[in-house]
Amino acid sequence: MAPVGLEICYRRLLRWFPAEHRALYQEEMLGVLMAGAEPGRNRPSRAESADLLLGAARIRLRPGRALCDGPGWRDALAVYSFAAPLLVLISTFIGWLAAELEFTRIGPSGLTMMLTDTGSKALVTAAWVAIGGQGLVVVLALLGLRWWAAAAAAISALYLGVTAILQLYTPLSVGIPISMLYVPFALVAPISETVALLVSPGPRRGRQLMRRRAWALLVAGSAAAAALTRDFGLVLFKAGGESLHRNASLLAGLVVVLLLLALWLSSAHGKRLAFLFGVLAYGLLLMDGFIDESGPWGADTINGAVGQVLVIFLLAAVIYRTWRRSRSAAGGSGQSLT
Amino acid sequence: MQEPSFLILTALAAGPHHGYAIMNDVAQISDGRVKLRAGTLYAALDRLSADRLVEVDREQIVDTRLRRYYRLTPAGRSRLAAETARLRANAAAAAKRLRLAGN
Repeated sequence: MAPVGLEICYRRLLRWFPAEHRALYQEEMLGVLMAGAEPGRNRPSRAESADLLLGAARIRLRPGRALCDGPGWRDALAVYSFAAPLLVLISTFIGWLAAELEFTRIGPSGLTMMLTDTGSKALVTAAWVAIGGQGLVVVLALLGLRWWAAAAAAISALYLGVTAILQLYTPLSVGIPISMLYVPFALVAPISETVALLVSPGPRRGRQLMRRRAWALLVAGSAAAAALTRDFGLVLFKAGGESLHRNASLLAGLVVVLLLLALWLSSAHGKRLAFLFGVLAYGLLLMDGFIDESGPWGADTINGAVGQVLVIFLLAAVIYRTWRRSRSAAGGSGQSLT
Repeated sequence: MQEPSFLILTALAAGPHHGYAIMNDVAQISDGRVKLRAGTLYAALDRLSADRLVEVDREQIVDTRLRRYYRLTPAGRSRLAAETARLRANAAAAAKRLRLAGN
């Protein structure tokens, strides 16, 4: 019988593999490793250790793998399909309300101006599509009408995407980029919501999965997100100048990051949600200028397409992987490893 | 297709094998040039099974340890045949050019 110490070392190395992989292969791999171990050895060789670590990395980094394996990701996407549009709408509303309450001091809020008159009919329409689209998604999601909600999000994303692309060549209004439009979180929200609504069991399931703590996190996240909206920023700027705006925005950004971190550390389900809301947070931070809007990851320029394309690529990976999994499950016969 | 995957499919083309047997067979097929280790083998098997090119044939408990046998699926067999034809065509093209060059 091989030394017990060697098996302990192997088990320790196998912990680097994802849990679902270990559940499937760990005992079998241990058998292979122990069968192949040189007699008298009580520690794995460096080459063997490196091979196991690389194998674990390969599996963890496999495109799409971590995105939607098993029901865990479907449930996370279901929660996201319900909570994300709600978060966007609440935070936008809080930002707008704060600015409107300050109306007499700072004039109408940016959102009100965009919804009424920006000097460009196309911009006004886009603003209505952006906000109205999110409102419609929330209502349809609350009613449990998943496919209608997905259609609303998709049409909204398509319209805003086309408008944004057209604007790259023919500016809709001098000096007003499309990202100023409250395109709720710069297209990331409607695109990611469409994906979540299409590939998950739907918002009704998401609502069922939300416990009291999840609601508390949603409220806290909405409040932090609200502090990062342009309207709220304008209120802060008018109230205390650039330093107050900057400090409050930094604090709100930190809160967003801490909330995502808390979600990440809470559970496996929390990790999935943290990833999904992290995608949304990218759009949010982009809106507030944390990410240089004219830089390679920003929203304003042709170069800004890089960041959007990355998000679209990640979401496309989710769709592809989920579609392939469901196709395999539907058409599968005989014993399969997956 | 990467070489380890090709060699694993080649090993399984002869019939169902368990993990350790696949490792030994791959070493033999490649004249000892490719020595698969467990990490590489199971990452490849995981990928191949996700692509439905291999599947579990049966499971055994040997000395209290799980031993799982894998076999090629029909899709795996077709894929291996296609890959073999591709490699053969490449090798033939290379050989022809080497002959033309007088090497």
